[in-house]
Amino acid sequence: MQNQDKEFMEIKMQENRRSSQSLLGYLFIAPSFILMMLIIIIPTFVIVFLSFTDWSFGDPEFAYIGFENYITLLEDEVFMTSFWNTIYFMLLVLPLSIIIGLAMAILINSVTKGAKIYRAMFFLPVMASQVAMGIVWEFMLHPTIGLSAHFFSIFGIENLSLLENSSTALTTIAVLTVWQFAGFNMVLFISGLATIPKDLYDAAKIDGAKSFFSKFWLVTWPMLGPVTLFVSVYTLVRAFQVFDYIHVLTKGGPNHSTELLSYTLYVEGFEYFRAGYASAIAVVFLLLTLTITLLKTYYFEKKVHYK
Amino acid sequence: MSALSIKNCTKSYGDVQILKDINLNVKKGEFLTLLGPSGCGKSTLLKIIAGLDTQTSGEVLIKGRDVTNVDPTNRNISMVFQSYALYPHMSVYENIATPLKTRKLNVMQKMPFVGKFINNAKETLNDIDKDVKEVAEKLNIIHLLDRKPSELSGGQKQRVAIGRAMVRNPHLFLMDEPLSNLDASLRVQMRTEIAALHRELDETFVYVTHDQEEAMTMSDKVAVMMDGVILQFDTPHNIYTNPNHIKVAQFIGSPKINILYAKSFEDGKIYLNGKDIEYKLKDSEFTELSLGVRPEAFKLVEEKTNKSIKAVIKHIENLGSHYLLYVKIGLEEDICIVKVNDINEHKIDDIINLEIKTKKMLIFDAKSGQRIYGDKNAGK
Amino acid sequence: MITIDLKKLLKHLVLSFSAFLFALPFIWMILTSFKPADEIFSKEFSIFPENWAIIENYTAAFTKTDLVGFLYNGFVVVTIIFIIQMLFSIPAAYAIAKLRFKGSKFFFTLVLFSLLIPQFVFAIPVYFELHLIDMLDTYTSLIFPWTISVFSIFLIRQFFMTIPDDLLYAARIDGMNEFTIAWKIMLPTAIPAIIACGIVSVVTHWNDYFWPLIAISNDALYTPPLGVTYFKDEMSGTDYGPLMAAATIIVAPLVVAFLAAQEKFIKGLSSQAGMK
Repeated sequence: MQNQDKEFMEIKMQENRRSSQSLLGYLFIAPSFILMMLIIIIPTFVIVFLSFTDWSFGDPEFAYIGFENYITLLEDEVFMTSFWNTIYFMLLVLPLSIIIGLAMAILINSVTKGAKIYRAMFFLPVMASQVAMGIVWEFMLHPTIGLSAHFFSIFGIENLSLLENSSTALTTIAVLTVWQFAGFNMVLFISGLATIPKDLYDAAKIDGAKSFFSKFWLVTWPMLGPVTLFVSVYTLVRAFQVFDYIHVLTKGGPNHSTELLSYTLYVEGFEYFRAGYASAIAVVFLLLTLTITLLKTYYFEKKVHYK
Repeated sequence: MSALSIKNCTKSYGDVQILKDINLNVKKGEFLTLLGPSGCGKSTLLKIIAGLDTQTSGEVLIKGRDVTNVDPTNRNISMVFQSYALYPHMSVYENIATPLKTRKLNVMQKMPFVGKFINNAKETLNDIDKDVKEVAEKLNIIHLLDRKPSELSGGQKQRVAIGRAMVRNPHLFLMDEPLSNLDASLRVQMRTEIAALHRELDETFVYVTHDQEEAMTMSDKVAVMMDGVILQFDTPHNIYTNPNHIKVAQFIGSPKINILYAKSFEDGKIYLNGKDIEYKLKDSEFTELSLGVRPEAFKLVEEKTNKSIKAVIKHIENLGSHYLLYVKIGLEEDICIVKVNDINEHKIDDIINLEIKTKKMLIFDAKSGQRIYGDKNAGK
Repeated sequence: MITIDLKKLLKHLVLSFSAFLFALPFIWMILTSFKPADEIFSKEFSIFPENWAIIENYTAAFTKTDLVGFLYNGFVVVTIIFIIQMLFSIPAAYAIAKLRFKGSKFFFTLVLFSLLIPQFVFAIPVYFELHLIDMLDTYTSLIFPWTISVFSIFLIRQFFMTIPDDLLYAARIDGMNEFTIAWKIMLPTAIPAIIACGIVSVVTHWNDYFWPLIAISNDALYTPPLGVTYFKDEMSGTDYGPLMAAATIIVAPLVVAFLAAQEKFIKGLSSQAGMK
């Protein structure tokens, strides 16, 4: 009789403990859950919903218009320019920031003195406000009194305005972006390089890989596969969200040549307050981001995973 | 001309001297083991032979040629690493083919898709294919050619590493503790395989290990290294029966050799615990002695004799084919291990009588550790 | 031996030159903030100022606009955001890492999903939410969207997962209640993660431009990045000396903090990449 009582009490205690854990669990996640819903989850669904309406901010009512917004997007010259600008921008920023980041990582890895200082200097741009540094760059690139002006005048080129010239503006901003991103990528590559076993380089030397390049193709590049992949994804996602430079320096001009999706979204949503239309742009934005990230997950599992 | 010759080689990193005046001569087809505890410099020496590291002074000659300034690629050597160092992103086939491909294909031919079509690369690739398959056949890994290293067991990875080393038919095989990462039973199996491989290929092997059993069972010659010097360079048998230094004697042999403290006087006689064990030294200048007595060099006698010594049994291990008695001899601090075939109903705490088989006894100077020799006619 | 030194020298040359190029905007920004207007605009090119105008430029930066106010706003907003984030994220992370309850997996899935949504997507609805409760153009509007940090929940959870369950069982048997466990055992372990979250949060929100741009119109509430653009507009693009001074002041706090705690910054900011 006493043993049964004991067991019963133990089970009761365990249940109490479990339910107290449950209660606590829900309590702990409650605030975060509510905030997540309010700030991220519900808004995402709202955006998708809004993209099928014609609502403008401040309108008392709105109508459901199906895919009309999306069709308008395809016919909107500004949007299509913005879209292709964004693609061009990403295609420029991605390889450059990776190549420079990787090159610097390899160099820093191979020197013993000063590594920390070099690393710090490359990483500085990551920390600094895009707005502040954008303004500094604008000054530096000023056609007459900027640093670049003095530099170009050595070659006899006067009055070259990179940011006001529709054929060079976007590329210039891409270069600024690479300047900001390369240091971050470099740091990721440095930690990637550290994981490569030294033995492999010894084996490669004995197998006949003498030059830097043969060792790079045989050992370094393949072993960096996973790192390169997620650096690429991260760079693409970030490049996608570049906004500050555009708003502060060019406002999408000259002639929409520096118009990027993030900026177009801003203009439609917060200057023209065409919420429905802007939502459609946001959905496009979201789909592109998701595609990049999901492609990476798929590719990662399939090819690069050889641990 | 020897296959490998090392002359007066030293290696220092800043103030620290890793190798101090190494001299070595290896004949063609010999299996040499560099044996020693961690930190003795054996791996460093191997890397210097390979060309992965450069000596501070001295010469390395492979087949009579000074290779000091020659790349590892051009020394005609191969190496098997402790961690196997297989390229994780390549299949077994590709791993083994790499040494051949890197050498025989030029830059253009190595390009991913188009390389095959350049300059008769196809022919070279066919030759390479034959070589790879031949090696895989020999090592019994032909069914693994498509797998990646992560899909292989330790023993299989080991074979692939050996295959990669074999495929170029080098003059010199270097092995850096290749069996350390395998479990005990696999190690014993791989030992025989490597020894068989050596016989078949009839090439020169330089093998590094800290495991004295490996050294004893596989080698033609062993170089026992400690603290950057080669203490003894001889056949395994001689190193076991005729060590030239107490450190060598202690490193080789399992269970470890017993060291007893003894004294000797002008008459050259040796006294252990005050007892004359009826053995004379050649030179009477040594007075403090360390006697090395291997477990099998003790004899268990039932009755006390003139030269027997008393010991107390502290622990008995029954290994089936023989017993190991852990005993305390006289006033000696350390436990000694005695190997006997029968214990005649002795048990723990019994007092027993032991005689030393003086012919097998190894005498060392207690101060320097150097081997001392007894009078030829001493001992019965 | 000569060949080796040449290689090393070349590497250092390339690195130094590149590092210099990368740091150039900062160097130029600071140098310009020391120069008087006539030197900035002169056709003559000079690296260093001939006449030093530090005091004038920096004074102008502080007096022509409420730079102090902008900095203050920045500090307040960044600090409050971080505190609230930690207040909510740490318990949530603990819950999904160590407590067993039905909604645990679902919540974690929500967290993973939320990590993928960029701020441009939820900006419009959140803006509208704030508009509905008439809280736009306030500190609350600056802070509210960032009170949730799914990144922090994720990172701290990963840290908590490394604590062996056995340790917690032992503590429970010893009689500790859940709160004590959370405070005395879990929290100290998570400090490196909290520091990393702090760094990411502070850097992100000090430099955030997009959200304050749309949420705030009252210049008394401007955060530092907004403040600098305000400055730029006010100066109608001619007072470069004070403008560069203002930029230096905005950028300085983070740069100095970074140089003081390089490892922590680098570790912290890189952990963000691992999430994606």
